Amino acid sequence: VIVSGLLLSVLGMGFLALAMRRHHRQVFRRDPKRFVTIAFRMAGMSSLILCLLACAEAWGWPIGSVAWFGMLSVGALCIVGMLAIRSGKVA
Amino acid sequence: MKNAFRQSMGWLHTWAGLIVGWLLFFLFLTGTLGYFDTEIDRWMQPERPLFEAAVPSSEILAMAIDKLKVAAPGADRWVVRPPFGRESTDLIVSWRGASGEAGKNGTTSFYPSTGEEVNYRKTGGGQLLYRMHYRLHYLPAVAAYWIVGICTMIMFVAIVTGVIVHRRIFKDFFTLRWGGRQRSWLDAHNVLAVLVLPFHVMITYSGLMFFAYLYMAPVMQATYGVGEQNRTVYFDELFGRAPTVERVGRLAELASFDAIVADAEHRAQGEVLYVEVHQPGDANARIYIIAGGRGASRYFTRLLYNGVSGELLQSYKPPSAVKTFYDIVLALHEGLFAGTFLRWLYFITGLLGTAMIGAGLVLWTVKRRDKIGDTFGFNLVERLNIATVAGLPAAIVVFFLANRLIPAAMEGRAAWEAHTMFIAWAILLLHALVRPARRAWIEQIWIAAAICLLLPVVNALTTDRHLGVTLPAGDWILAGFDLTILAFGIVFAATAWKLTARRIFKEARA
Repeated sequence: VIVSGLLLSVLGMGFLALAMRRHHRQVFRRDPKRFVTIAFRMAGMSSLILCLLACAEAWGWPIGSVAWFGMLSVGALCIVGMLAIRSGKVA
Repeated sequence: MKNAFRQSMGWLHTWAGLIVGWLLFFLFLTGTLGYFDTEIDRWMQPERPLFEAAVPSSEILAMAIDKLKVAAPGADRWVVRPPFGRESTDLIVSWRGASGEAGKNGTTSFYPSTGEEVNYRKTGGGQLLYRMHYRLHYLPAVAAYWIVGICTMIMFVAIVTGVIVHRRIFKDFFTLRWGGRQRSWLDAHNVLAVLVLPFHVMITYSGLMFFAYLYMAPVMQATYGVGEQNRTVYFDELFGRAPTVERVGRLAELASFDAIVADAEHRAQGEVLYVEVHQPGDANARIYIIAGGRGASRYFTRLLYNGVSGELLQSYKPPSAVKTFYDIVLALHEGLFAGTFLRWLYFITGLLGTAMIGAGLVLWTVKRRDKIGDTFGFNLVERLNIATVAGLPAAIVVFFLANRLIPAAMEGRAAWEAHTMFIAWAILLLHALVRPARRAWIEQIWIAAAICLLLPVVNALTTDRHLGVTLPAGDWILAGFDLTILAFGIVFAATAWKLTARRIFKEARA
């Protein structure tokens, strides 16, 4: 459950990044269509909510919610790292 | 109007951050290591047996009482702290006002599995590092609390102004651009700050709460009055200490612990964490027990028993809502409830916070190098940056090295471990002051890398608790320490290597 929670956080943050024009262009080299943006945003949000549920499942709500924030931070950091490495190679 | 506001906030953020940045870096780094304080303790006490068999708590308590009967007869008070969880692995007994040979007041620790007195080397351990993050070192405690408190307050100011200044929190959420020096440092500072913002706010706010009764003393005095006696009343109420009882002078055998422990554990739905015996051996003896599990709030069941009959006299009220809030805030800060995974999350977010401060400090110099790069102030800031960001981690690892290299039997070795760390830090500061700045960065990062990579080797040469033993034995606390230090060494080495390569490349071009 913990590992899947972490994966969900990385995944969710990744989707959210892809919903943003700048990062979408970085990855796919073209502007995102409007419905694609919305789809990515929805996917991202729901992954993060699933991640919260996974945390609550693993630790119970009080501690799980603390863990969730930690997971969000680490997940987002992974995405930042990946994007940075990618843009570093391209540039 | 709006821009002027943002500009003034930017000014405040820059200078507030700069003034306390170095100390905050120290507080964050030592505090982050504090999340693994007992694990570090364990590593710094290699004499400890590899595995300790778990012993039921009633047996441990019985053993403790036997030891106390011998060591401290006629004491006013015995205190027993059985081992529990990751926080404490020893059985600790102490006593007040005894008439035995072991002295009036005293404390002894035992291995719970064998009942032998602990015999590991004297060391400040991870607790010392942990304590440094609010108590500093070499300073009187209250002065240190004030300094740390003021820095924390300024940190809070820096967080709030930082959020105001940073215009595009969501737009730049994932942005980290290479290339432009200033751009990259700004991005790094932003990303590290924003992604871990909940942690930063929580840790700073709760950090202030710890010593709220010190910083906000006038509020307390307004309700309870000034003076030592009123202070005691306040703290008794706040922390729920057991009231003291008088001797009646008649001797009476202490009640058996088995039934009391079973009752307390049943009522608390958890383990016994702390036992006080007041006036043991007297007919008026009392047994005060704190028991409980580890939840997000540090709520424990507190029970008072008659020490002779074993009958329950009082079960203390659950704390007030305000106290519960206070407890939760502090618990969030300390993360004592965290299991292994969550502890690592805390550790990582703490490191990110440290890195955020470091990036902010570097950003200050990068931004101004072209304009005021040759002034005294600029040089001072840059040199202090080097000695803090690169020098402090190296100095902390020197502290671990000292633990292995200072002879185990030396007088005052625990103090010298800490001295060694600060001497190393002072040397690195000196080094940063005399070398050209760019060189000093590279050299200090190399030094940090070398010490990190050296530490497991020294550990293997001086003890039999090295990776060759701990990995096969599956002792992940000890092995994890060495592996983590190795990982840091590799990161430092990679950074230094990259910087060196860039420097050679630049020189070749010039």
